[in-house]
Amino acid sequence: MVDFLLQQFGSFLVVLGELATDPRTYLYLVCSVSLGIVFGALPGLTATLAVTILTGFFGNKFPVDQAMIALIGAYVGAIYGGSYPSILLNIPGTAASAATAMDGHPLAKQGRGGEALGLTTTASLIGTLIGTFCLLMFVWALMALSTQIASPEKALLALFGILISGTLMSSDLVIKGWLAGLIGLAMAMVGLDPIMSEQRYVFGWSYLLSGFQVVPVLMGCFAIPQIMYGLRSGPFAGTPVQVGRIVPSFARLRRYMPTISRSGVVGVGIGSLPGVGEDVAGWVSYGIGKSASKEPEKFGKGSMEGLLSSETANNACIGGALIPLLVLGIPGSPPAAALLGALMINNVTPGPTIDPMFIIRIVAILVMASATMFLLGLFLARIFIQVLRLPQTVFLPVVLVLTTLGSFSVGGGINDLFLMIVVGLVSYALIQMRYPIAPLVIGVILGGLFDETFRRSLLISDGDPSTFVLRPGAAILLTMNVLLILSQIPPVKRAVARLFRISATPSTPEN
Amino acid sequence: MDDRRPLRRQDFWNALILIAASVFFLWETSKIPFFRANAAGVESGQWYNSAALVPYGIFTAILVLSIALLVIAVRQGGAPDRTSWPAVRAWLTSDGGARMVAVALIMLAYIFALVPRVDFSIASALVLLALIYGFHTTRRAPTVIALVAVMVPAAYALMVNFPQARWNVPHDDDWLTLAAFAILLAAMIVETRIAGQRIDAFLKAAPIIAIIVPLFVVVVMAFGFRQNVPNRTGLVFKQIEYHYFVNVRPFLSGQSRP
Repeated sequence: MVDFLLQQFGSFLVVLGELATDPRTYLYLVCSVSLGIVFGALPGLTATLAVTILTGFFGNKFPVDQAMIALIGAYVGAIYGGSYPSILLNIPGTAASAATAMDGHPLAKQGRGGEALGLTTTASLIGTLIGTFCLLMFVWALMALSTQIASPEKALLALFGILISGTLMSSDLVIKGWLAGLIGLAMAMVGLDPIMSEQRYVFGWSYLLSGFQVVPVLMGCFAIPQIMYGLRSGPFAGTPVQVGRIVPSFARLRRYMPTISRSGVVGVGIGSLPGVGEDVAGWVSYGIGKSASKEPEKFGKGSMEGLLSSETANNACIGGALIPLLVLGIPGSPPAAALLGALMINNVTPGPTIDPMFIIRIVAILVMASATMFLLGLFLARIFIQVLRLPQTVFLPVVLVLTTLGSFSVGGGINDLFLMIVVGLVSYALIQMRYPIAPLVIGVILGGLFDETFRRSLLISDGDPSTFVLRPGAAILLTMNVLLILSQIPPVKRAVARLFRISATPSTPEN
Repeated sequence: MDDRRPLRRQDFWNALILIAASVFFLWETSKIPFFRANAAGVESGQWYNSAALVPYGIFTAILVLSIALLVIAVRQGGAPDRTSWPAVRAWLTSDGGARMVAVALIMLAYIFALVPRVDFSIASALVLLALIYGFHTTRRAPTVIALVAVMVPAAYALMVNFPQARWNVPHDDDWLTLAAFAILLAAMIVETRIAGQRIDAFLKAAPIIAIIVPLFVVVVMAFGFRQNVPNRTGLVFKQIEYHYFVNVRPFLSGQSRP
C-alpha cells in the first residue's frame, strides 16, 4: 500500500514537473484563473458558465491537456471568485458562495474585509489541495472497484445520479427535480439509438439524427437564463467596502486550521455525490461548522469560522466532484458536467478505461491552478475588487455574443444556435417555476449511457430483469434508488416518522 | 400556503403541458418497433432490444409525475380561477415582465434572423448596443427603442432572405443592420438627453464595446483558432478575410506582393 502511494506520488511529481517547466502552462493558468475569478466575482455569472463558455472556445480546438488547464483553471478561479461580492457587497457571486455572505459581509462591515479575503483565499487553497489529495488517493481505490462495474451497475448509477441531484437540488417540490432529470433523459433519447441505430423523435430533420449536442445544451441551460434574469432586473453594480491588509498572519491561520481541515473533508464528501455541487457543500459545511463551533451564536454575525467553513468546502468540492467524473463518467457538480462535455467532444471517455496518467495530469493541473488562484488572490485582489463596479447590463450582453460564437463553432453551426436558444428559453421558464436545472443537464449527459447500459444488461441476460438484483453491486445500487424514491413519497415519509416517534416515546408503566 | 399559490398556478399549467407532451411522445414511441426490430437488414425481435424500451419508461414516468404535480397544484390552490388571467396580464405589463419579453424577443431575433443572414460583427454590434442601452436603466423608452432597432432589420432579413439557400449570399440586410446601429446610437444620445439623464461612462463605452468585442472575437476564432464562424460572406468579414489572405498572411510569412 505504501509502495503504491509512493508510486502515485512519484508519477504526480513527474507530471507536475513537466507542467511546471512548460511556459504555456503559466500563460493558460494566469489567463483562465483570472477569467474564472472575474466570472465568479461578477454577480450573474457563474462557475458553470465560465467552464461552459471556455468549453466552446477550447473544447475541441486545443490538445486536451491544454484545454483541461484552461477549464480547470477557470473552475477553480470562479468558485473562489464568488467570495469577493459575498464579502464586500453581501451578494453571492455564485450559488457556491451564498453561505459565505452570511458571515463575510458582517466581517467586512466590521472593518475586517481584508482579513476575511486573505483567510478565504488561503482556506480556498487548502480546500482545493485537500480535494486534490483525496482525488489522488481515492480515485485509485474506486478505479480498482470500477473494474467490477458492468452494464447493470452503470445503468443504476446513472439513474441514481439523476435522482439524487434532482432530490437535493430542488428548492420547491422534489417531483420537480425528478421531472427535470427525466426531461434531460428524454432529450438524450433524440437521434439514433446506440444499439439498434433506430431513429427516435427525429421528425425528418437530419440534424437531430446525431442527437442533442452537449455544448449548446449547456450554453442554453446555464447562459441564456442567466442573461435574461440579469437584464430583466436592470443594472446592478456595487460599491465595495474598503479592505485593509489582505495577506493573513500565520498565527490566525493556525488558529482556524481545525475548521479548515474539517470543512475540506466535508466538501470532498459532498462533491463526490453525483450532481450535487459546491453550493450544497458550502451550506452543509456551514451547518456542521455551526454545530461544531464553541461560539455558534456568532454565526451569521461575522464569524470567521462560519466564513471559512463554507469557503473551504466549496473549493474542496472541486476535487470531490472530479472523483465520480473521472472514475464513472458521472459529473459530481454542474461545472463538472460542463467539464465532462469538454472531455466528450475531445473523445476522452471517463470511466474504468481512462488513461491513469490522464488522472495524474488532472491532479497536477488542479494543484497548479489552486497555487495560481492563491497568488492572484493575495496579490491582485485589489484589481479584482474593481470588477465589482461593473454593472451586469454591460457584461451580460457580451456573454451572449461569446456564447453564440462558442456554441456555433463547436460543430453543429446554426442548428446548434437554434437548439441553444430554445433550450435556454425552456430552461428560463423551468427556473422561473423553481425547477432545478442541473438534473436536466445531468440527464442529457447521462441519458445515452443509461439507455445503452440498461438495454445491454437485458440483452446479455436474455431479457431477465433479475440481473439488476443478483449482482451484489447492482443490488446495492437498486436498493439505494428505491430507498431514495420511497424516502420522498409523503405516505412513506409519514409512516417512517410515525415509526420513529413510537420508538422514541418512552414506554409509560401501566397502572 | 397563500404565498405559494402563484407558483402552484404555474405548476398547474406546466403539469398539463407535461401531460400533453408525455402522451404525444408515448404515441410517437409507439411508432418505434417494440416486439420486432429491423435494422441494417437484420431482423431481431426481442422487446429488450427495442429502442422504444427506455423512452417508454421515461415518458411514462414523466406522465405519472406530471399527474402527481397536477394533484399537488390543485390541492394547494393552483387551479385556475377568475383571478388567474388578470394576474398573468398584470405580470406581462409589469416592468419586469415587459423587460423579460423584450430580452427574449431580441435574443430570438438575433439567433433566428440576424446571425444566419447578416454579418456577425454588424449583427452582434447592434444587439450589444441594444441590450446595453435598452436595459441599462429601468426606463421604458430605451427598452422600446432598442427592441424596435433590432426587430426592424431582423424582420427584413427574415422576410427577404428566408430560405437557407440565401443565408450566405451577400445582400442588403447587412447595410440595413448597419444603418439600424447608427440610428440606435443617435437615438440613445438624443433620448437620454431629452429624458434629462446623464450619459454615464458605461453608456459612452457601449458603442465601443459593441464594435470591438464581436470584431475581436470573430477574428480570433476565424484566424487564431481556425474555426468556422457564421456568415463568412458578410459585409465586414469578407473584407477582413480578403485582407488577411492577401496582405496580412503573406506579410507574416515574409512574402510580399510584387
